[in-house]
Amino acid sequence: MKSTVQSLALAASITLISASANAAPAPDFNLRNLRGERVNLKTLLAKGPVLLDFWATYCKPCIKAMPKLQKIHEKYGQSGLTVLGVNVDGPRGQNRVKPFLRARKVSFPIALDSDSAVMRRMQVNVLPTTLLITPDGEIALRQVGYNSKNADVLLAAVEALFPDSGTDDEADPDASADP
Amino acid sequence: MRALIHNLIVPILLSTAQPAVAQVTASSLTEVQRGRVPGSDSLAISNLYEQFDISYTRGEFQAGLQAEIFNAWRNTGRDSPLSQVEYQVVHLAQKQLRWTHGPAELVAGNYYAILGRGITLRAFDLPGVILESGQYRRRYSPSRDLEGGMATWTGPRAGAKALIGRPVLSDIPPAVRVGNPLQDLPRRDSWLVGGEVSLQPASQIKAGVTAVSHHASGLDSTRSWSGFLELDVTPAFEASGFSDLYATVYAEYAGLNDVHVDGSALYLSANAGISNLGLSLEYKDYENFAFSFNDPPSLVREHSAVLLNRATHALIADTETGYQAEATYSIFGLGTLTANISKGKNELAPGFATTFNERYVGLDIDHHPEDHGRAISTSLFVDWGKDELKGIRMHRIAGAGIESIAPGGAVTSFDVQVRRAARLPRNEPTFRDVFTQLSFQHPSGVGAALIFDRTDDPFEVDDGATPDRIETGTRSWVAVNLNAAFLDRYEALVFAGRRRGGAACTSGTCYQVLPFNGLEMRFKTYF
Repeated sequence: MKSTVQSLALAASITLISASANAAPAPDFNLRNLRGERVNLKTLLAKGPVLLDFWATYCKPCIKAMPKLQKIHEKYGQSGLTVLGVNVDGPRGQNRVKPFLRARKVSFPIALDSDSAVMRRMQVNVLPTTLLITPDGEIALRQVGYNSKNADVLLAAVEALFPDSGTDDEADPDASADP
Repeated sequence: MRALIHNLIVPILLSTAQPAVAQVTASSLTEVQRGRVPGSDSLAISNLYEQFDISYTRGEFQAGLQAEIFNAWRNTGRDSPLSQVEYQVVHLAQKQLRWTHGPAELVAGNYYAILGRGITLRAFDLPGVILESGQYRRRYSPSRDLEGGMATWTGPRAGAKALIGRPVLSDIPPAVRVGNPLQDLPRRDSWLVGGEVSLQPASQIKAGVTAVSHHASGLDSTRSWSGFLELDVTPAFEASGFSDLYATVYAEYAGLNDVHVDGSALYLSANAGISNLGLSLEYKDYENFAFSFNDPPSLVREHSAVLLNRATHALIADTETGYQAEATYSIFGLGTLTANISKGKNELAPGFATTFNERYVGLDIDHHPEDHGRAISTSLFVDWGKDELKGIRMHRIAGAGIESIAPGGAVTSFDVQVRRAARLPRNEPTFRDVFTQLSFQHPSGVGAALIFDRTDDPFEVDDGATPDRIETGTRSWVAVNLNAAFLDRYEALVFAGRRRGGAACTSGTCYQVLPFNGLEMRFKTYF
């Protein structure tokens, strides 16, 4: 019983230590996109905020989230926001990613995190998880799972970063990147 | 307890005792169970699993640490002198130093890496997965990392990766002690050195080679290598006036040599599409190509439906040939139609082969009214095939789901999946599995789900404790899931009831989950 108490006390301490930690920057990473080109977080942040979406083809809530992310990409891509989908299908599903996206008309860029290493470094363990990262590298918003309320909160957070962008503007579709 | 303080608390305090601008991220995953594994435990067990991650970032440097704590208390019988058997494991699972400078990255400690498509090496994480070993009865994170060092350079037209490390035998939980006198069961008893070089002279062509040399104590070393080529022929279509058409092909061939055996692996894939239609084609031919640290593409679809993943095929990279083809058609404004066919053949002995095949058709339809009214999503699928390796001569699985999203954001959903299957030989009777889930998610972040799982599979219904007779009838598992997310930093999940065991899949990897009867609470915090 003594070890029970010790373990519970330890778990509680760890949770409290976690809670007292300061907000922190997102760690930099290098991934490849579907064209084989390098995707570097620091380089993207130099252009503006980054919206990272961790997803997989077998994840239904991830699929439901995509139209909203596509709209955000179309609306704020020209203003400097990068919407980056981070696919974690691994080699098992990698070949299906491009047809999956093209058929659904998803045009924001996709990076492949085949070993889930970046997912781990970003402390993501549920799909989908969406991180809004400010240009100075701080994770301003972390959303786990998808529902319509989450989508509204995310949109409001993005709008707060771009107060000058009109709410009804339609972005230039040519601005979208080929996945 | 002293070891615990040295291994965990001191590093935490050192990491957090930085100036006020300390850039620290941390997360904690705690899971507590009170219950039993049917067939293994006669009485309830209590256990606590804690996984704690902390990382410190300063400029281009990052230091990370992951610790696992597992504690179990088991009642083996009221009259037994060993009525309380306790485990306590404190394990420093990962430690890592990373430096990222533009295209260059250096890692020392524990890391993940994939060479090519994972044919010669795939070291990967399974985020959020906590497994219990049925043999050793320990709960742990089954990540398959390497412990050593890696240097990566990711340039615009070329890339290189060099690594050295000790792979982990992820089927063995940490800190297992066996023998007399007791000794730690080694999880990392070999080491490897390897790398990859790739060139991309133009955006539509990429070629590369990988090589791995593996050394295990007392065994001869094994050398494997591969060459790969990826071509994007979309520009050729565009130049010919077919701007809506795209296609990419990838080929990788690998060889293996050691003193006793030569192996080979061929993986071919292509994807193509036009307008709303997308196609994916893959072919595999693996022979003598299974090691503990590689994981070639299995070419078996990973599903979102429980019964489909539970019936998934397990790749045997020592002898498997087969293919997978998938078509995705987006019905504009309505939803998506997906059709998949996959086949695998295992030549287990001369003249003796087993076949797996699966055919899947799924339809997802979404209705999102423009006036922000109630949104409805429905999904239907059928799946049929066989997996002789698992003794399944035929299966038919059908499923349907409906999800309703109220204007206020409340989500109500109902899923039902039915499987009818029969084992080999041909005169074995069919059995039926039924899985249903009713769930409700309030927009405030609180939700609940009722899960019902039922089968008349003789393998599940028969009681192993009565070998003199075979029980028939049905067996059911009923459970309630409660979840809550609050303050953008905390997630809580409570499971109460009975959980059926079987295969589950995450990020392209499938693993066995033990059955469980009882109460389970998971709490996740991240900052």
